[in-house]
Amino acid sequence: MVTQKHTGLSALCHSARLSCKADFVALVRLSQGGMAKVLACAPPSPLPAFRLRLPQISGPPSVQPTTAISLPTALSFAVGGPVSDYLYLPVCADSGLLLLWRKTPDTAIPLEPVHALLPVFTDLMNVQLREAQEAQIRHQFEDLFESVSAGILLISGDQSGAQVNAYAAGLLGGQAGYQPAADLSERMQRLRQRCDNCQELETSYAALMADVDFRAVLRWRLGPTTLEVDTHPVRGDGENGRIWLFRDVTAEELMIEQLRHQASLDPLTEIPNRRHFEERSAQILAAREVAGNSLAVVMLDIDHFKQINDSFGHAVGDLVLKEVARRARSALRPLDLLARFGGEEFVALLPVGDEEEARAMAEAMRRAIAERAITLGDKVVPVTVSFGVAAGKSADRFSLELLLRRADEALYRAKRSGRNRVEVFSEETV
Amino acid sequence: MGRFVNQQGRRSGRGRRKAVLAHGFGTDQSAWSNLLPWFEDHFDVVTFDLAGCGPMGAQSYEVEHHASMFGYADDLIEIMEEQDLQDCVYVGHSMSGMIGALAAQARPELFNRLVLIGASPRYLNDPPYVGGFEQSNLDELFAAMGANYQAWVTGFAPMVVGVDSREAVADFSRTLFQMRPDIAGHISRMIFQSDLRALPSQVSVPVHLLQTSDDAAVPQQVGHWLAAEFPNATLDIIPTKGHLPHMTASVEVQQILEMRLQALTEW
Repeated sequence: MVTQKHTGLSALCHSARLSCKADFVALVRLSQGGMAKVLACAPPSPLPAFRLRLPQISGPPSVQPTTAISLPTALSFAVGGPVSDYLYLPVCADSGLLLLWRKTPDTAIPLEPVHALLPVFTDLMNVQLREAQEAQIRHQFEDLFESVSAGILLISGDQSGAQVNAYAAGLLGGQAGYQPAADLSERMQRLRQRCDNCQELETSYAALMADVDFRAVLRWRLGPTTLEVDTHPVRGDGENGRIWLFRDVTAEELMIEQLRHQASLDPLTEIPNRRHFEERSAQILAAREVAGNSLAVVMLDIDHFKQINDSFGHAVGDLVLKEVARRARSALRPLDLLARFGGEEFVALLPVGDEEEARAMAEAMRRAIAERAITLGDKVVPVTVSFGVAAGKSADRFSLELLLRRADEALYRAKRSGRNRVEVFSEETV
Repeated sequence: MGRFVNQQGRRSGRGRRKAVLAHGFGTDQSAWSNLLPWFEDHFDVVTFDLAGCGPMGAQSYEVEHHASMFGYADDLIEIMEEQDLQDCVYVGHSMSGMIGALAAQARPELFNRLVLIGASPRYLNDPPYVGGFEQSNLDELFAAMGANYQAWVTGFAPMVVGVDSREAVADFSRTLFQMRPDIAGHISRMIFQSDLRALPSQVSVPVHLLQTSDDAAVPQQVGHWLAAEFPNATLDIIPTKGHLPHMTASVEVQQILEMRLQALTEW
C-alpha cells in the first residue's frame, strides 16, 4: 500500500473531482512493467499498486467508456462499485490524473478547470519528490549516525546545540537527539573530570581551545575503560560546527599490549626472548651508565644437552629447557633480566656492585639447577649448566657486545674445565 | 502469450453455460478433480492455476502485481476476457472466494453467480468480528514457514485438510511443495493480512457460500457474517471437518451444487 501523505496533492485531486463531477480521482505514477502507484486520490483511500493498461487515444484526452479497457479491480473497490467511464490526463512523462465515473456523465464534462490544475500538480509533485529525496538522505544519515559503534556529538554551526547519538547519550548521560549546547558541554566536562588522566586532559584541551579550528585525538582513561576522543571542526552550515567522536579502545589497547608481550616472550620457556633481551638491555645499560654502577652478563649453557635430547627425546628436552629457565629465574632478583638466547643457551643481565657479586649470583643459579635431577614421570634426568660471567663498570664504557663476548669466552672456559661450574672473565686468562 | 495459457488454463465440458473453477492457496487446479466430471457434464468449464501456484507458479508470479488480492482479481478478469466468458458460474475456493467477489464487484456482467467455498474476508479477529486468528498466531505461522518450509508443510497440510484422509493430505502437501517457499510465504502473508470486509455489501450477483462446520482456517461465524453481508447469498454448512471439502467431502459438495445450481443445469 502506498501511504498518501501529501495533503496538497490530495486537495488538488479533490478540486479536480469536484470540477469534473467525477466519483473518484487518482494521481498515478506509472512504472516500467505497467504497474501504477497512486500518489494521491480523492476521496482518500489506501490503494495497492496495480497494473494499468491504457490504450493510446488519438486526439485530445476525452472521457472514455471502461468497456474498452480492463480497469483494475483496486480502483472499482476504491470507487465502491463498477466504473463506467474514465478519463486519463497526463500530468508529466510518467504520471497522470485518472478520473472515474460510475455512471456515464449526462453532459459533456468541462475540462478547462482540471487542465488549469495540471501545472499545479506538476509543481507539487516536484516538491514532493524533492522532499522524499531529502527525507531519504536524512534517514540514511540517521541510520548511519545510530549504527556506528562510536559516540557522536555533532555541534551545530551556531554552537547553540548538538545532535547526540544513542551511544554518546549512554556515555554522557541524558537523552539522544538534539540537545542544547550548554547542557552538553557540562556533561562532557563531568565525564572528563571522572577520568584518571583528568589533569593531563584539562591541560591539553586548555592549550588547544584558543584556536576555534582545533583538532585533537586524546585518550580519556575512565578506570578500566579507555576512550579515544577525536574532535575536529566540521562545516556545520558554513559556520563553526564541531564533531566529537568517542570510541571505546579498551579492547584494542588490551590486545596490543597482549601482542607486544607475546612478541617478546620465548613461547617454550615463557621468559623473554633474544629480541626482548637486546631491547631491554640497551635501556638498562643506558640507565646504568648514568648511575655509574656495575653490570654483569652471565651466559648459561646446558651441559650435554644434545645427549639429553638423543636419549630421552625432544619432549624431555623441551621440559629440561623449561625447568632450567624456571630454576635459574628463581635464583634471581626481580630486577635481573633472564632471557633464552637460542637453543640450550640462556643469558642474564644483572645489575651488581662488583664482579664477585656477579659470580655469587651465577653460582646460586648453578646450584638451583644442579642440586636435584629433573623428573618427568619415571624418567630422571640429571641436568647441569655451565656459566660464563663478565662484569664491567660504567666508567669502562663497556658495550653489551663486549660483555657478551667476554661472558662467552668465560663460558667456553667453564665447559673446557669440566662443566657444571662458573667461570669469570679476566684479561690474564685469555 | 495470454494469461490463460500462462496460468495453465484448460477448457473442457459438454454444457453451454460457462463455469470457472478457481482453486485456493496451496493447491492447484488438480484440487477440482473429484468435482470436474460433474461440472463437465453440465458446463463449459475453465480451470487454471493461480499465479504462484501449480507447476509453473514461479513463472506466473509477479511480486508487485500479486502483492494484493486485487492483482489476482485482475488476473481472473483477464482470463475471463481472453476466453470470452460472460454470465458464468464462478466457483472459488479459499483465497479465490474473495478474488471472485472482487472481480464480480468490478465487472458484474461477467458473473451469473458465485459459489464460494471456505471464503473469508478477514482472518484476523477484530471484535466483535471473529476471523479465527490473532496476530501472534499468524506471526508464529509466518516464522515457522520461513524457518523450515518442508517441516511447516508437514504440519500445516493435515491441519488444513482436517479429516483423516491420507490421499487429501498427500495431494495438498504435493501442491504446497510445488510452490517456491518464498512465494508461498508472500502469498500466505498477503491472504492472512487482507481485510476485504467492505467488499461483500458491494457485490450484486447472487452468492452461494459453502463451508464445513469445523474449518481450521475459517470459523463458522465467518460464513454467517458473509451470508449477512452479501446482498443476495445462501449459506450451506457441511457437517464435517476441514478447509478442503471439495477434495475431502466432494459428494456432499456436489449435492449442494446440484441443489443451488439446479436452474442452470436443467437444460
